[in-house]
This record gives sequence, structure tokens and C-alpha cells, in this order.
Amino acid sequence: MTAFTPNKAALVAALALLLFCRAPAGAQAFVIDGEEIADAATLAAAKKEGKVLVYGTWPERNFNPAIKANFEKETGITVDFVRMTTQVLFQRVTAEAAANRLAADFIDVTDPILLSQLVDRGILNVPHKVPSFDRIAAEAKDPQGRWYAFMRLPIGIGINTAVVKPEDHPKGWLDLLQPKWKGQIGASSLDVGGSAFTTWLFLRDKIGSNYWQRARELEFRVYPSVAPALADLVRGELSLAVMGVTSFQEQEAAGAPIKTVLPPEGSPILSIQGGIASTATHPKAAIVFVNWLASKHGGRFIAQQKAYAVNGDVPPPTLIGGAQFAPVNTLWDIELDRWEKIRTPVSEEWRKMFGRK
Amino acid sequence: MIRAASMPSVHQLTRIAVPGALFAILGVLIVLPFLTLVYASFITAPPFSGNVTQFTFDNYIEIWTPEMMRAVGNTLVVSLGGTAMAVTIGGLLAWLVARTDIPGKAVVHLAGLMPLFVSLIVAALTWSLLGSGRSGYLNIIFSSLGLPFRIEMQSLWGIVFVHGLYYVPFPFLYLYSALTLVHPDLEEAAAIHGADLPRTLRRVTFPLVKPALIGSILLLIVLMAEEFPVPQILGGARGVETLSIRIFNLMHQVPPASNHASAVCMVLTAFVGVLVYTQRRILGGRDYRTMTGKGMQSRFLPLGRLRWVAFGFVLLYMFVAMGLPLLALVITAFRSNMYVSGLAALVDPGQFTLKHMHEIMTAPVVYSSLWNSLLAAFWTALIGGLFYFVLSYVVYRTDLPGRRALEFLAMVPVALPALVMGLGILWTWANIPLPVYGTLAILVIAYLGRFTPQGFRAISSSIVQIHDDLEQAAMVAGATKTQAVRLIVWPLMRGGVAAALVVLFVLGMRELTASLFLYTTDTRVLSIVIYEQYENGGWSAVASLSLVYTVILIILTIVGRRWMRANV
Repeated sequence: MTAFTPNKAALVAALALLLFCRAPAGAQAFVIDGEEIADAATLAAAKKEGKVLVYGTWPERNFNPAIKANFEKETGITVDFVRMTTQVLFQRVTAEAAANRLAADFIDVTDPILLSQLVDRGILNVPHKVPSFDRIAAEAKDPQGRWYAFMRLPIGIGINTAVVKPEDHPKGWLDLLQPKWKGQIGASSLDVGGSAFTTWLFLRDKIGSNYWQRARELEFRVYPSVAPALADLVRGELSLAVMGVTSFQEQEAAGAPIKTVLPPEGSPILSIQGGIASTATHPKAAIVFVNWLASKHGGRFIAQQKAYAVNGDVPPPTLIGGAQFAPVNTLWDIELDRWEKIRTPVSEEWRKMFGRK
Repeated sequence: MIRAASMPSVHQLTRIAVPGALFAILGVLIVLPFLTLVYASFITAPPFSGNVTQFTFDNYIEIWTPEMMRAVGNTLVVSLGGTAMAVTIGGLLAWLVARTDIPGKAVVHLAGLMPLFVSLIVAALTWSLLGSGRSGYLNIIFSSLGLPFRIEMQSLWGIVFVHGLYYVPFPFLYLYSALTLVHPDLEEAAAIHGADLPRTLRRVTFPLVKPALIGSILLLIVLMAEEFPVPQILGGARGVETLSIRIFNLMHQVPPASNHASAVCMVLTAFVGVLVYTQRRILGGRDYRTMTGKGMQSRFLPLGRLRWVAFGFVLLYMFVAMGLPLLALVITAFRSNMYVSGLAALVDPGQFTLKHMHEIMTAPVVYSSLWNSLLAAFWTALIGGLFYFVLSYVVYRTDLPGRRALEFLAMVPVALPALVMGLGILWTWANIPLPVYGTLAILVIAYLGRFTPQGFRAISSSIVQIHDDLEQAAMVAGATKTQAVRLIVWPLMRGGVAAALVVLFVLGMRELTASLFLYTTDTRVLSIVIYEQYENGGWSAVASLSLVYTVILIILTIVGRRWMRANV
């Protein structure tokens, strides 16, 4: 049995005093692996609130195992998740907010324009600097801490390996413009959301100014959402598809004949950005939730779902087979100012080109 | 002193109060959400969403692009083609079971109702699996048998086919109710006077069920025009746009073009207005009442050797509409992955897995959402059945003021694509200070509004056939109006009302699009869970869930069918 020395007793007393000063008796700060996610008072208040209601866009199959399960287990705070597509979510949030009935504590969207509208309307206007604020890249956060890009993933190329011979596997974005792929490539409509917009703009601005024209000539199949394009790729109806790599990776893990390519020219980024609702009815729980998402600890769970965490200390995810994602700062993104300037004209141009006006 | 003569009598008050109450209910269910859309179509930004807006006509001008014209053309093809197919199949099935001596009537009746088992999203997905491109299961079979043809369901004609196959229950139910009320004396009289079968059908039976026929044609045309999941799943990837897809695309732009979408809705509403007016013109001034005070004994037309040919047709329809899709669901639900290289791989036991089904059956959300769906559908059917009965009665059997307007209002939701209706309900109920928003009640309210045309049509198609002599005879004998309705009209109409209740229940179970705007974590319904899986790209999970869902709907429809047959 270890002797209880006076020194240890003093240390314990000092710690107890420290805790006593900061929080109600019996409460403890939320610390994991030396990283403080919430102080004791915030955690206690959050636990008292008991739940956090999230209106979000990350698919449930990623959100639930990465975030809901772990956050609930570690904090005892329930996460209620209402998953919607970005546009439906935006319309619902703005209508609820206008009627003073916004139920959500935390909101995220995949589109920077819609995000900035939520901020401008005061719906996402809780300046909250997470404890890991300094470990977050400038482009992934609002300077005042009203929003963060909690999940980001690269857009890549998926190949159906049962249909495409190994020697034909495309390596980069320009390979998609070979005539042999006519009618064999699927992509989302530019109007699906922020990531689709970024992807189409990336292909034209970064890869080739006539990329859209060639894509049109090669009869790229433009899908109204990601799901049917993915299904057609897996079934072999498409040879290749362009979308967030998580989708390919999940199918590959499930045994589908899919291979993921992250082209060397770089990848556009899909970014899920969110923050605490100004009218949150569980504000402390929302703070603990946001801190957890931005922590190194929470970020690891996000990375397990093949998405970049917002915390710069979390290593990038790895592809099945072990290859690591490129550093997040090498991905291609659009600055918010530019978004606002070009969104409408570029969208119009694209719709005209692809007959979706 | 007020003289008694100047006071309105109880009778006069009733004359105002009954339509007034109906207007109030339709007002809340339909008019308010509709008005929010009318309003949205004349302003520059979405209303009730914290925007600064200005009045404008531009939305109505800007929507007329060449793509919009193409969408109008596609919508006409999809709705007219689908209606022709569904009414032909549904009418034939209804006639066979109601008027002929076809064998296995229970099976024929089931065949007419069966497609209700399949939600349209599941129908579109399964037909996409069965018949799209080189990887469609049927095409794989054709190819391995060396057959030279392939089918392509991801096309305009694919949409027509799926509509035509799965909208059969509407004409079936309405025509079945109407045909069971056709007095056999009329057909017999035609036969005695030398008319053969086709002539009897053309000159006697068909004209007598014209209200139900016209009613179901009208309903189907507009339902198919606004229908969303089928063109989305089968046409989306090929750039085939119908008006509903156009509205979806407009609402999914960033920022959402809700104002343009609302203007397109108004175009659809005008289209429905024309159809309702046409229906009035066609049916106006004629007498379709065959259920009179004279006794009626059911007698069936002998088909002779054609009995088995007819039964063969019924089995073929069942196989195509239910057998093949169920097979596709089973294959997909129990396969480890969706890639099928050929016929051998399609039936390869090595690909068999219980993983997806196990995941579905052990997920608590499946059970909680099933319970929510059952509750929402139950209340929709119960409240709806009663309300639509009163509404049909007032519109077709009274001379109360405003009944024409009530009829038009009842048909309005058919023109409102569920996507936009969901938004209208959201705008309306988020602003009504009642503790309804965010509860299951808001879903019931949305369903009651959305399914008014179907429920109203289902009940009214049989009400117009019951001769008012029957009620009047009861009233002459001393019964009050209420007693006459309760003792005479209601028992005769039970079949029609029961049919409507089953339809409402199943529609409530299947509804997805409006629910998307209104659900919360506590009020998630099963269709939302299926859609989530679809959006996730997990088609195996979608198939597993759809299989479970379809089995539940089969049980419910069989239970409902037994009840509906009780009074035949």
C-alpha cells in the first residue's frame, strides 16, 4: 500500500480547492488526454440542460457513429440530430427564426453563401472562441468564433473497377476528358450545394478553361443529388464519378468494386460549416458540443469518418489501403468575398451550358 | 322589441354554419398555406423568412424559359400517358371484380389494391434496379438469354410506365365503388334487348360510372403532374425535367428560388382549375343516380371461357407490379454489394448476406419512426374520413351556399407540389401561435390538407350515385336529415368511405415530401428514415427497409381490403 505523504495531501487539497472555486461541489472539468474541452461550470450547466438539438447536413451514417455516440457517451448529454439537405435546412431555419420558433441549438450548412446569410440575419451570431481556437486555420473559422468548418473532405474521382480495366484507370482530372468516357461519368448538378459549385468552378478555373465545354460534349451525366450518382457508379451504370471521397470509401469498405482517386492536381473541398444558434435553448450544451467538435479528441472521431477535422492537430484521414489525404491547406477553396461576387453569374452560365436554366 | 320574424331561423343558421365550418377547416388546411404561396409568387424574396420583399410580376415572366416549356411538354406526356395506362388497368380490374364471374375474386380485388403497398420512391428505385441500362436485373437476364432487346426505365417512358403501374389503385377503388352500385337490372335489360357485351359496356355500364371515371382521370392527371420521386429518380440523371422537378430544381438553387417555384405552382393550379371546370362541364346536368329505393340483387356477368384469360391478365399485372419489384428488393436487400456482373452473379449464394437486414431490424429509429407513421396515418384516416364525408355530402347532396367553391378548394392541393405545400405549411404553422408546430399533429394537419383531393374524390364518387329519393323517403316517414344520413346514406356509402380510409391511411404511411419540412427527431416517420438511407447512398439498407415497410403495408392493405369487402 502506498504511503500517503504530506506532499501528496497538499497537492490533493490544492486541486480540490481549485475545483471548488471554479465549479459547484462535486463537478469536474471535461478534460480528455490533457485537453480541456469544457470547464467544470460549463459542463455542469450543459449537463443540467441535458441535450443539444442539431440541425445539420452531415449524413447520419457519419454523424451518428462519430459524433452522437461518442459525445453522448462522454458527456451524458443527448444529441438530437435532424438531418436535412442544405437548402431545405436553410428554408426551415429562416422560417422558424422569423416566427421566433427556431428549435435548433446548433446549425450547420454546406454552402458558404447560406452560412453568411445565417450570420447576417443574426441566426448564427454567438461569438464563441473554442479552447482550441488557436489550433484552427484562419480559413476554417470566423474570426469572432461564430462558425467553424467542423468537417471538410476532398472531392475525388471514383472508379468502378469491375467495369474499368486497371490500365484505363484515370489518374487526374484531365484524364476524364478522354473520348472513351463519353456518357460514362457522373457528377452532381452545380445547384446541389457549395461543394458542387466549388467542384465545377475548380474544374474550369484550375484544370482547364474549356473543361465545361468538353464535359458537355462528353455527355457527363449530371445528377440532382449525390445518392443516385453513387448508386449508378456502384451498379456499374457509370464507369467513373466525381464526388466527396467519403462516399467512395464507404462503398469500398462495404465490398463494392470501387477505387478512390485523389488526383495530383489537387482537389476541391466540401466544407460543412456551423455554429451555435443565437436563440439556442440549450446554450451551454451547445458550447460543450462545439468545443468537443473542435477539440483534438473529437476531431479524431471525425477523421475516422474520412473527413478533415477542424483542429489542426488532428492528422488527415487515411484512405483504405493506408494512403493519407493531402494536407487540408492544399485543397482548393473559394474565398467568401469571391463566392458572393461570382455565385450567381457562374451558376447562370453553368445552367445555360448544361441545359438546366 | 325585436320581432320574431326578423330573427334567422335555426334552418337558416344551419345553412350558413355548415358551409362556414367547412370553409374554416379548408381555410386552415389548404387556403392559408396556398395563400402564402400566392403571396410568395408576387414578391422578390421568400416570405416569412426575415427578408425585405417588394411586389413584382417578374416571377411570372421569368419562369417561361425554353426549359420550362420542355418541362410542360414532359409533364403532359408523363401525366396523360400514365393516366391512360392506370385507368385502363384499374378500370378493367374493377369491372372484372365488380361485374363479372371471374374466378378468384379476392385475388383480383387484391391486385387492384396492391400497388398501394409500394411507396412511389420504392417503386421508382426498384424499377431503376430492374430496368436501367446494362446493370438492370431484367437487362442482365435478357442479355444472358441472348435476347436482342433491353429496357430503359431511366427515361420519360419509364416514368410513364411506373406511374401507369402504381396509380392503378385510385381508378380501381373509385370505379369499383361505382360499379358495385350500378343496378344489374340495367345491364340485364340491355342484354334482353339484344345488346352484346361490348355494346352493354359502352352504352350502359360505362355511361353510368362516368362520374367516377372522369373523377379518377382528373385526379390522376394532376397527381402525376405534381408527383415528385418517380421523375426525380428515373429522369433526374438523364436531365428529364417535369414541372415538379423544375420546382425542385428552383427550390434547390442557392439561395433557393422559392418565389419562382411558387409562380410555377400557380401555373399548375390554373391547370387544375381548368380540369375541374371541364369535369363540371362534362358531368353537369346529368343524373348518375342508380342506387334507388328499388331492391338490388348482385348478379354477375358470365365471361365464359374468357374467365381464365381475364384471370391470367390479373396474375400478369400482379407479377409485373409486385412480383418483380419485390424480387428486386429481396435481391438487393440480401446482397453484400450492388454490383452484378451477370446472371450467375445475380443468383450467387456467395453474395448473400443478412447484414443489411440485421442492421435495420436492430435500429431503434426504425421502430420509433414506424410508430410515428402508424399514428400519423391513423389520425389522418380517421379525421379525414369523417371530414371528407361531410364535405362530399354538402357539395353533392345539398343546395347550401358556397358548395362549388368548397369543391374547388378541395381540389387545390392536387396542384400544389408537396415540396412547396410543405414549405407553405411551414410558413403558416410556424407563425400560428398554437403548440402544434414541431409535434406529430403538424404532420397530420399537413397530410389532411395534402390528401383532401384523394379522400374527397374517393367518397364523392360513390355519393353521387345514391338517389336522394332514399333520404327523402326516410324524411317523409318522419326521420330528421341527420337520421336519414345516418340510417340510409351512411350504410350505403360505407364501402366508399372504407375505401377512402384505407387510401388515406396508406397515403399517410407513405408521405415523404411535405414531412421533410416538418419533422423533428421525435416525429421522424418511416418514409423519412428510408429517404435518409437513400440520400446516404445505402441502397441495400433502402431495400431492406423497403421490404419491411412493404410487408407492413401488405398486412394493412389486406386488413383494410377485408373490411371494404364486408358490405359488397
